[in-house]
Amino acid sequence: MNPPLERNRKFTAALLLAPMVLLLLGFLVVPVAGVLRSSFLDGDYLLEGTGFTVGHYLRFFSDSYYSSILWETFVDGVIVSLICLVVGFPTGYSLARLPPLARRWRTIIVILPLTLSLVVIVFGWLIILGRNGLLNSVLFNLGIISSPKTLLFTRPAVILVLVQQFLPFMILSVLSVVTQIDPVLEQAASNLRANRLVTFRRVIIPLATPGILVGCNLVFVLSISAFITPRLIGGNRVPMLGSLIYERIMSEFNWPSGAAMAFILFVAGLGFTAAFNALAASRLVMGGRLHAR
Amino acid sequence: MSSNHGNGLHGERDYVVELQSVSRHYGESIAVADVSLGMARGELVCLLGPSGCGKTTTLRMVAGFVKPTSGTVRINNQDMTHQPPYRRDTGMVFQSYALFPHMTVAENIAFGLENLKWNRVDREKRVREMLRLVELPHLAERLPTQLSGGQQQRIALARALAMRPAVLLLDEPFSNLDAQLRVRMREELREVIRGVDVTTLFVTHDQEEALTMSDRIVVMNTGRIEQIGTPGDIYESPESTFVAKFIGWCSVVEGAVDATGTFVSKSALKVPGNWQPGPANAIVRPEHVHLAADGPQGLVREARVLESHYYGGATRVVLDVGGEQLMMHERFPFGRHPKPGEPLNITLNTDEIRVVSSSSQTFTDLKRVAI
Repeated sequence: MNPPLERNRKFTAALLLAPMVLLLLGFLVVPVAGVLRSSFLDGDYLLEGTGFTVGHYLRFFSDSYYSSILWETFVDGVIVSLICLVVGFPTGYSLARLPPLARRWRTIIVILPLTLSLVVIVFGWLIILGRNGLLNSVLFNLGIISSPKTLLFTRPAVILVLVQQFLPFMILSVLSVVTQIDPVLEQAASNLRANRLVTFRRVIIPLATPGILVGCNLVFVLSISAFITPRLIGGNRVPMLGSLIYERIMSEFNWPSGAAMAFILFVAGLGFTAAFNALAASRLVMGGRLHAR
Repeated sequence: MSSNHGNGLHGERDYVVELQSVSRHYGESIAVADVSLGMARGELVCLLGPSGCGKTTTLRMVAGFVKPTSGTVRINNQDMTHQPPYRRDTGMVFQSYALFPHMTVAENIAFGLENLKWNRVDREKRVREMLRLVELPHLAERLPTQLSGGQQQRIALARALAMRPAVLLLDEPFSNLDAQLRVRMREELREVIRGVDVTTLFVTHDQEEALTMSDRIVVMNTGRIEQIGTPGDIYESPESTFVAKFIGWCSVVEGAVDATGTFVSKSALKVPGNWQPGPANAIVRPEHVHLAADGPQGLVREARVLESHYYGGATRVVLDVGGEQLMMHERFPFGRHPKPGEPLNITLNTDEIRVVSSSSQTFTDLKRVAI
C-alpha cells in the first residue's frame, strides 16, 4: 500500500472514532477522574473538602462494618451469577437450538424485561412481596401460612429481584456461544457412545465456557454495583455496597467518603472483568485452547 | 432340538446391518420409502443418488439420528430401531468430520474408548494403533484446527474405527476435499477399510466414488431403491432409465419393444434381443458408438456432428444419428476434431446396448394410443 493512501486511511479511522472517543472522555474518563480526586479530599461534607488524604480508604478497609458489606456484596454477586447460570443456561441452550424464526421472537420475549424501567420492575416486586402483597395473600388464602411473612427487606428477596433483572444477560451470552457450537458435534459424541450427560459435560460445557464466563462476568459486575434494588427491596437491613454509596452521598452528603467507596467498587469491577477475561483466554479453559496456536 | 432353530437369527442370512421395509415421513413428504437392505460382514455398500433421494436419511436411520416412521433397523441381528445412537454399534465419519475442536487428535480418538470404559493403557495403545493406521502418528497432540482437510478426514476415520464398530458409516466423506485430494483420499480410505475388514455403508452422490469403492451399490431416487447391484451390474445392466442416466454418460433413445423382442425406436434404430415387449428406452453409452473406420462390425450409419467438446485425452461428440442424439467418446488426431455440422460415419455396437422398459408411458405415447 502506498504511503499517502495509508495516511489517508489512518485519518479516516481517527475521524470515525472521534465522536466515541470524545463521548467516553467527557462522560466516562473525566467523571471517573473527578470521583478519584474527590475520594482523596480531606473532609466529610459535600464538596467542601480540601487537601489530600487517604483517610477514606483507610477507614473503609479498617472498619469491619464496611469490609463485611464489601464481602456480602461479592457473595451476593456470586450467588446471583450462579443462579442466573443454572436458570439461564438451559434457556439459552434451547433457544440456540431452535430454528432461526422461532428463536427470534422468543429472544425478544427474553429481552423484553430490559426495556422496562428498573423502578417500575422494583415497584412491581414491592407489590408482590409486600406484607399485604400478592404472594402473602395467595399463600394466606391457600392456608399455607397463618400470618403474613416478611418477604421484603430480606437478602433472598434482593437476590431474587437481581436474578430476575440480570437473567437476560446470561441467557443472551449462552445463546450467542451455543449458536456457534455445531449441533453435529453432539451427534458425533452420541455416535461415540456418549449419553446426553457425557455429551453435555465433555462437549457442550467446554465449548460454551467462553459464553458462560461472559455471562457470569456481566451478571456479577451488574449485581455488585446495583443500588436501586438493594435499596428499595433490601432497605437498611440488607446493605450492599451500591446502596451504601447512594446513602453516603445522597443522604449524608459525604462526597469524599462515597467517592472512595465508589472507586473501590469501580476497581473491583474492573479487576473481576480482567480476571474473567484472563480465564477465558487461558489454556485451562477451552476458549483459550481454541484460540491458541 | 427346536432351541437350535433360529438361534437369534431373524433374517434369512447373518447380516451385520439389516433394514426391513424402513420408511421415514416428514409430515406429507416422504424422505425414505420402504427401503430393505442387508449388509453381509465385511461388505462395502454405497448409497448413491441425487440430493434429496433419501440416502443420507437412510444412513442416519442406521446411526440412530433419525427414527424410522415404520420398519425395522437391525444391527448385529438385534433390533435397534428404538435405541439411541450411543447404544448402537456404529462408527460414523461425518461430512464435516465433526472433530471436537477443544480436544487434541489423540483425545478425539480416545473419546469413544473412554465412553466404552476402556482403561487408560488400552486406550493409549489403541490411539497409537489408529494413528499408525491412518499414517499420522506425529499429529497426536495437535488440535483439529491445525490440520488440513485431508488430515481431519483421516482422524475422523481413526476416531470412528477406534471403537471397532460393527459397521462404519460414511456421510459424503469426500465432498469437502478438492478434486485431486478426493481421488487420493478415496484410494487411501478404501485401502484402510479393506485392511481392517470393517462392514461399511457410505453415502455419495458421486458415481465415480461409488463405482471405484463399493462391493455393491444401492441406487436411490425419491426415497426408493431403484436398483441394488455390483458396480458392474449397475453400469452394464441398468434396470431403469434413471439408473442408466445417473451412472456414466448415456443417451436415452425412446421407442418400444415389438412382439419379437426387438427394440425399435421412432427413427427405426433397432436393438435386436429378447426384450420385454412394451414401451421401452434403449440406453446407448458413448462406448457403444464408434467411428466407422475402427469400430467392430455393424451397420455403418451416417451421422452429423451437433456438439464437440474437447477433454484432452478424448473428445465427447454429440451426434445426430437419423434423428436420435447419441454420444461418442473418441480420440481424434490433433487438429482433426469434428466440428458441428460435419458428417461422420459411425457404427453402433448393438450387442452391448441395453433396453429398459420405460416406467410410465410418456405424453407422446399416450397421444399415439389416443389417435
